[in-house]
Amino acid sequence: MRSTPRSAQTLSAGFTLVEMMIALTIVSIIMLATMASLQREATSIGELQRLSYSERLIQDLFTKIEQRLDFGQGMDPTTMLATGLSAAGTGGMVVQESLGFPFEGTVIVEPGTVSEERIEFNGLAPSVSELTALTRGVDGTSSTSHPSNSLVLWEGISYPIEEQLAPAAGTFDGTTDDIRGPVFFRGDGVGFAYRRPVDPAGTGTFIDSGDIRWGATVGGADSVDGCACLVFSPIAVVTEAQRNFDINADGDLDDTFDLGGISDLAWNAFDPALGTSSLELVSPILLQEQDNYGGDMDGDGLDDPMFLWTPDSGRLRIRLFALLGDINSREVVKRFETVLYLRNGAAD
Amino acid sequence: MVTASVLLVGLLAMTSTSVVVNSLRRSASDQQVAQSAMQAIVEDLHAAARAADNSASNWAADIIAVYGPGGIPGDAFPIQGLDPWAGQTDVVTVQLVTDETSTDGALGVAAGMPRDLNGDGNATSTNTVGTAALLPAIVRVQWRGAAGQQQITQVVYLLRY
Repeated sequence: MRSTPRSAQTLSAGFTLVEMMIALTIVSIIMLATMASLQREATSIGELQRLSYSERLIQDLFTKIEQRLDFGQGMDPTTMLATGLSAAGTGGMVVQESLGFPFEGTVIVEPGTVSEERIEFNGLAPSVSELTALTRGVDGTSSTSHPSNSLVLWEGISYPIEEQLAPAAGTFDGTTDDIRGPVFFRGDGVGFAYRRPVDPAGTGTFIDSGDIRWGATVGGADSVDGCACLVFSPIAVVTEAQRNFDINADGDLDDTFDLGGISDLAWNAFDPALGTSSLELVSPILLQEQDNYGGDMDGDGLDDPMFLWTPDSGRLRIRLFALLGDINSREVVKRFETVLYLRNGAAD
Repeated sequence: MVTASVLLVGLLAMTSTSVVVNSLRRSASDQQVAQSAMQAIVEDLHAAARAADNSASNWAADIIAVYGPGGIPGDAFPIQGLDPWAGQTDVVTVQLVTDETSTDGALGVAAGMPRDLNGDGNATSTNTVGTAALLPAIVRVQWRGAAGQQQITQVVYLLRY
């Protein structure tokens, strides 16, 4: 009896069940891999878009700041106590000069000493140079008494101190790295007070009798009585423990951070009751360590003030740390930095 | 087999798309960092010019002390987040021009050279360090990224006030 060759059997019978099963398995594996890949791609592209969007937000912020400050003039909200302040006083503190201090915020009294205290104020009475409605001993400090002539500075300001080679302890609040080398500075650096040329009457010129008319836009209108500041505005709290992520790369998960944006505050510097305004310039993606504003944010052992103002050269360095979110299952905190040159320098 | 091949090709295409998208994003991000760095350095040069001694004899020398060889940051330095070109250690170079007779061709940029830099009415001085009223600075940012070796160049004119 002649037997049919095996190849001929297969051809006449089509695919065997085993061959079909193998083919189906291969197709199924490839389809599953394709679907998994598609899902991963979609997630990845979404994350990258979010990252790009966040980066663009910061670049837009820099542009907005540049537009405000390019022809602006930096101010110096640093002064002395005109009269002593008791440890319990909450009504107000009279200072020698209140120009440049915003209508609300936090001041540092006697910085760098054992009596250093941070005081929140919620009102400003420029006619009597008084910061009012005080909350004492905030941001991890304690309420204590301060003699007259104690140094008072708005927490926003930070500036390089004069002695940069070997400054004495207590004369500076931190050291930051810079393209010009390490800089010893005073202040927290979470804000910057400024004025800019204004044209309240709409005459088409910022010049009045040969001088620039300085002021700010308060509530949408230019005012020669106006003053403005950019300041970090926290709205939420994030902890390293919650996120299981060492945000400031200091080797632990113990730190707590304020998450916020940058606000552009403007007010009538002669009487804030006549007008104040506030505008958020960026979504709340910026970080500052709680009770350590201006401190080290990237684990390099050097401080990172947001704004570092050098009045002599009109140089304003801006350094921001933004929480960009979860990318490829990893939290991303990115540093953004720029330098602005204020052509009109510092206010007298 | 045909189905499997089609799916496999699709899978490879998607993987390749992903790599390209990632590389483009990285490239755009690097470009942004480089442009920010360029802007920051140009602004800082202006600030250095303003802070320099206003006398003709010291002005350019003060700027060179910051942005010249041996200064801080000096005439070449790295930028965080950008990789230098192969074989180089720095990303940024700053070239301060004090030779009035330099030509654009020799400098490799359109800086309007040769030109009078010290206001004496001619462009013949080969060293204006002690007399300059105008100091051209050529800033180059050169980095290596997903799209290969990239460079942006900007010329900035520093003025003695």
